[in-house]
Amino acid sequence: MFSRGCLRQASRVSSRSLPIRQTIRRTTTDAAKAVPEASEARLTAAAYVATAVAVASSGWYFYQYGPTVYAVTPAEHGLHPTKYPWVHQGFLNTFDHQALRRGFQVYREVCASCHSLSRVAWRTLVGVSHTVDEVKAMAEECEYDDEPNDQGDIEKRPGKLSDYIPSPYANDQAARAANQGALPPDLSLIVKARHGGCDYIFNLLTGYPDEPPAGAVVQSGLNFNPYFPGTGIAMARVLYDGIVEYEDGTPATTSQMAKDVVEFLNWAAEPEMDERKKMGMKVLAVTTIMLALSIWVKKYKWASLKTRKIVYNPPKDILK
Amino acid sequence: MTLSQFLSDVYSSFTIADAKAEAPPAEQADDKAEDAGDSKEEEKEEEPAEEAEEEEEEPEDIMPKLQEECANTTKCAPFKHHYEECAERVQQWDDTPEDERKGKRESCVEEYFHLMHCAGDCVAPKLWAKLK
Repeated sequence: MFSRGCLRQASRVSSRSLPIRQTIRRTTTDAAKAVPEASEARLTAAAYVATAVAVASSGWYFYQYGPTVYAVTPAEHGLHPTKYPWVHQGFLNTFDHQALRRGFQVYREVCASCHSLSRVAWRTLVGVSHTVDEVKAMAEECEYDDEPNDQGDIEKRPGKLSDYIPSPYANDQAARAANQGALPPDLSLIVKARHGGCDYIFNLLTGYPDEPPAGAVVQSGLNFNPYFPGTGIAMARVLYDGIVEYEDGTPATTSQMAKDVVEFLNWAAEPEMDERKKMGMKVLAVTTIMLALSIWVKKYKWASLKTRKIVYNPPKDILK
Repeated sequence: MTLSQFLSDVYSSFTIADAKAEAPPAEQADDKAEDAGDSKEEEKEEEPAEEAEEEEEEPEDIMPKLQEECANTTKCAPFKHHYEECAERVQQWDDTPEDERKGKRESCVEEYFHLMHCAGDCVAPKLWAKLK
């Protein structure tokens, strides 16, 4: 458009100023040659400018919005947990209840000295990992506050099925004081409460290296664990081979115990999982049948409508 | 998931299974009560470590061995190489006298992360095949 406009203008100028025909022809050809040269230079310049503007603006845009800015170093972020093929995470798979039983044993003998499990009652273990009598026996070993007696004093009584699993410390302050200021979190919902869930906890438990990597700065009182954000964790490695003795004879290696306890903690966080998956299966099965039925009914009802044929027979004597 | 497992899952989801809350006829619930008591006494984290040393026959974990193997595979070898190089640099830095040191002491955490990330992906299926 630019060039065409120029040409038109040039031809108009030449035809007005030069009356003689031949000269006109000659000069018009000259002008036609000369003027496009000038406009070509301007065009090139314009193209250069446009390209420069485009490159600069996209460069500016990339500078402004392109690169992701990480405010934390990888060490502060922590190593992403490795994904493990947990059996219970399949669509139709339940928890491995033998693993739950072993996991509870690990919790009780190892974790429970620092971590509470305050939202799990003894009764919830019944039929999941232990029998009634076993759970009753375990509950009775713990002491709970009884109702006030006639003098108004609160006595202690042995635990019952309806009691909750006792916490190792009276409150958070006591827990902090006993652990150099670090609060051992409650484990009832820990699988849901941590990014990475089961994988994170398993990696955390098994991920303590024998010695921190070269050059890593570990504050005093902390331990190096690559999976913990910041890599300095107050909890030391607790799972060592053979620390518990499984009653079913499973070799109690570090990874085996970690797997069992993580599965148990996953159960503690979502005890409804088995039931939920079963219900999901039922819902899918019933809705599939209902869908199939409704499709059949619809087809049945519409069959007469869909297969009918409307024929118009115009009267033959209409023009008469 | 095999077809038979799927079918048995479907079957079990339509039938009512009894929750086995009662102990089986042969009573072995009593021995559970014994080991329940001593867990209460453990207050410190160091104690379990001492206990482990007392054990006669310790089962050995295969996880460190698998990690070692995985770190040496062709896939993870470059990461291991990087980490070792970094560790060497740190060692050199430590060895030079204090007034001749240049810059800050390097941290190999990032290299270690890359190595562990690579090794972890390789370990996961192998470890799960071995665990119960």
